Amino acid sequence: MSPKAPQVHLPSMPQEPHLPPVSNALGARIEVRAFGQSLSILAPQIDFLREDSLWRLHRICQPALATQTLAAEGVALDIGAGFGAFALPFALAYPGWRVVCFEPDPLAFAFLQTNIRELALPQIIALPFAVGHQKADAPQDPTAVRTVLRSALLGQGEEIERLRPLLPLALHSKSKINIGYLERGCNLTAEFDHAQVPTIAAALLDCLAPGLIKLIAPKVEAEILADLSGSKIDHVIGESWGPIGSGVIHPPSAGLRQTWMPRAGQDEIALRKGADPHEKPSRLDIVFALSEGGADLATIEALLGDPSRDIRVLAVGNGSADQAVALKSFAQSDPRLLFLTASKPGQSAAWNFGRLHSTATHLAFVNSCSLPQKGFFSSLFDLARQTGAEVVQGPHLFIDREATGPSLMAEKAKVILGFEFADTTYHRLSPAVLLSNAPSIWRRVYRRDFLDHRKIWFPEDLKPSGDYVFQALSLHGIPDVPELQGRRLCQKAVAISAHDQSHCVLGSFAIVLKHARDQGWNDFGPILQWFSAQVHASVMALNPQQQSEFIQSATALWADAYKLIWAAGLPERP
Amino acid sequence: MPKITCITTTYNEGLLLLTAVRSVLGQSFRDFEYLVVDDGSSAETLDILSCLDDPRLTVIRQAHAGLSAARNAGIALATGDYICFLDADDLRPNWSFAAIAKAIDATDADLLLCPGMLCDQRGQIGDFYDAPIFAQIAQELPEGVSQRQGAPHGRICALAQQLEPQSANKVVRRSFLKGAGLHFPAPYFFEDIFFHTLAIAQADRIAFLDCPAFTYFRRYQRAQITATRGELRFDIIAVVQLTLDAFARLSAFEDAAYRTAVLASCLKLIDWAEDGLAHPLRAAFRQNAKEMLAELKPEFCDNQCGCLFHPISPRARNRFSNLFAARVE
Repeated sequence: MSPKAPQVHLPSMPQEPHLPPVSNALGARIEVRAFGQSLSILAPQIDFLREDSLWRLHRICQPALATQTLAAEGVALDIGAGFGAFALPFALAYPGWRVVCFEPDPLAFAFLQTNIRELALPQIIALPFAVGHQKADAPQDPTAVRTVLRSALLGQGEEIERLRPLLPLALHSKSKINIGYLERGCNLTAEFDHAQVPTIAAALLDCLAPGLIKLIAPKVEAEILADLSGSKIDHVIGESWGPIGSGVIHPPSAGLRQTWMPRAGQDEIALRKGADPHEKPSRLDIVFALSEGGADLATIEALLGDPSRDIRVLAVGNGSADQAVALKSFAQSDPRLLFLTASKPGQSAAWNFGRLHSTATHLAFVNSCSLPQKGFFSSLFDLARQTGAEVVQGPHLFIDREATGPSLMAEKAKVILGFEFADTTYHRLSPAVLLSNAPSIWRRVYRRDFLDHRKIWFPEDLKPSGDYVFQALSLHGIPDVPELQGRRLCQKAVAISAHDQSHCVLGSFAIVLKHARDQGWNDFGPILQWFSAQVHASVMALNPQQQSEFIQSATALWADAYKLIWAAGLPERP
Repeated sequence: MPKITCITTTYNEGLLLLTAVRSVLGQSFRDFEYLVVDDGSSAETLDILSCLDDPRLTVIRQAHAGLSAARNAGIALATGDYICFLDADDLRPNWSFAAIAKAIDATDADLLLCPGMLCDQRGQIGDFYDAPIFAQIAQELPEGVSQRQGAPHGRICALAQQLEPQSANKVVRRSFLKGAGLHFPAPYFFEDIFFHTLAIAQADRIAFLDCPAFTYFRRYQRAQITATRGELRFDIIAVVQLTLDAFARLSAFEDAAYRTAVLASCLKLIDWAEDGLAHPLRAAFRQNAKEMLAELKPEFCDNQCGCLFHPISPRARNRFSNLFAARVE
């Protein structure tokens, strides 16, 4: 039972073991077309219940299954089955599959039973129960529940009557406006009534050996998926109303978990996972370019302070004894830290070297000036997995390291709160805006396949840093950059001589310009904006003797860009 | 004789090839043959092919000759009543052939056009690009089948022409394909517009499926032909020329709106190709395209755009202003 249950008497939902067939007066016959099937079924004459189910069928379930290949046989769980908008055409299109439907709403359940009977689909088993989770809904006799569930698959019948007394009741809230909408817990807003519903813990469904789950269980999706984390499930489809960490679809050795489960009303956020045969372990490797001087411990502490087990830190140094000694104790206490020795000096070489030794799906690049708040990278990693974005980022702040407070390592002993995605907000930034600004590589998480596909590496011979080149090439041509609010990364500013900085500006622009020419960029505005701002800043910083040479070089480059852009007819009027 | 022949060509797709193979062999409708044409792949893909064991699947090997030649090799060996195609890294949902077979039986069409789904690089799933055109056709043609003698056939063909010229969206009666001489224009890439245009223009009966029958994946894992920035894109000019020349010899050419639709879809491709081309190649590409278009039959530029879903874009008019200025104004 939900711990939030109010201290009032709540009625149980009426549950009739043998509901009579619903009359046509209560429902309307509708044509359902999905999965190549066309069937006439009865649906309640309640707009929300009917239209919501059909919308989900056509906008989520059918598209999701169109991207996946199912085995010839299997067991599907339809959690939140409604009147059968998904289960009925699915059973016809996939005749080798058995479908176990869970639908606690009495009216919808009555229509579901009637439709199953009319279409003569004995491979569908309908149960009038909600699905919850083991922590709150564990029955007194789980063995008995499993036995009945297994017998239901064998078509022995009477499972409803046998299961009902075995199941605990859980508090649910029923919308008075959107009739048929039922969510877990006690929603105290005026829209909702409350009822106790017989509920089966998802962990017990493992005994059915499900290969597919269609999940519509508002506010309890994460718990259900966590309950089933050990089940070998190949397909997960549905919609979510509450926050779900992407880790639930990446458990080790638990089926393919091909997943399409967008957030209700916000489908760019979704649990998503394809069936890519090349897919590497879903993990974030943070490549840490160690400093020459060894002032890296605070950064290491901060990175390892992130509680996620899906994150590794690849510390790349130059092989000095000082570095090895300093990192040895960390590596011994936390296997997520790996210490590598690069063959070339410099930050860019270290980042490239670490990436070459990584097998992760996502990468981040930091240096000894980076100090992320606890959970910064795991939040970004989750955002990256749930948006599929090529690049995601968090806020950053240039600071003096002394102002950051106590060691994050010292906080390790404290309770580490799991992050909740819904507690944060994110927005989508224009890559063009970011391109025109100074580089901030270290606050981002990158998709590795994207970097590999575009052959984007840090230019190792560009001193003091190839950051702008990497930033420009990785941000151009992507739709947007999701930026998570909340946790941030503090970055200590590094002093660079005006002379080095000016050379870096020229070298970076030349590389980016060549790339833009060969890759057929159509928008040069952001890189020109960056270049002009950097030229201005460099001129102001250089001494008069250096200015002349710099201005000549910058002018020559600008002329190259002019020839390229305007000779190519850009910008072109539509 | 099987009902359907599905043809997949492969060239170094490696494990990605299994995306298509598993989806075809997993079809709930089982009366089909599956021809996988290997276009000279290296060892990794050959190893995968050698492990495939299904009586419905035949692997055909050839020296590397390009996508068009590989598809033509598949067509030559097909024995099914109907032929369809699937790229090696794309997928057909389990119900695809069942829905296709049902539609074929119901309509007896020469050509069945199918909507699809798109899974983009971010894994976002949605309708394929041409869903609005399928919706428009469904609205204008509720029965889902159009035949040459029917009054709106030209209009339906003009709309169908503006669907994405993607090979997976077509199921073609083999006897019609042979009779019409349909093939892919080897040795060129960007071959689909040629096959697409001539199939629609010559089919006596065209039907439209009402459910998605393929999924197109945009991926970062492999270099797709469409992502090339180099000289390969010049193939589009040659393919467009072949397409327009061939179309101009057909009776469908007499329909002014339809032939404008054909030109519009070709110009859309040329526009797209130029927009993604490396800058040093653009001037030559534009010049070649202009020279090719200058040889067009003047009737192509009649400017009958009123009924088109995607009329000739202002940008294309601007880029090829000489063509339209000389012919129309």
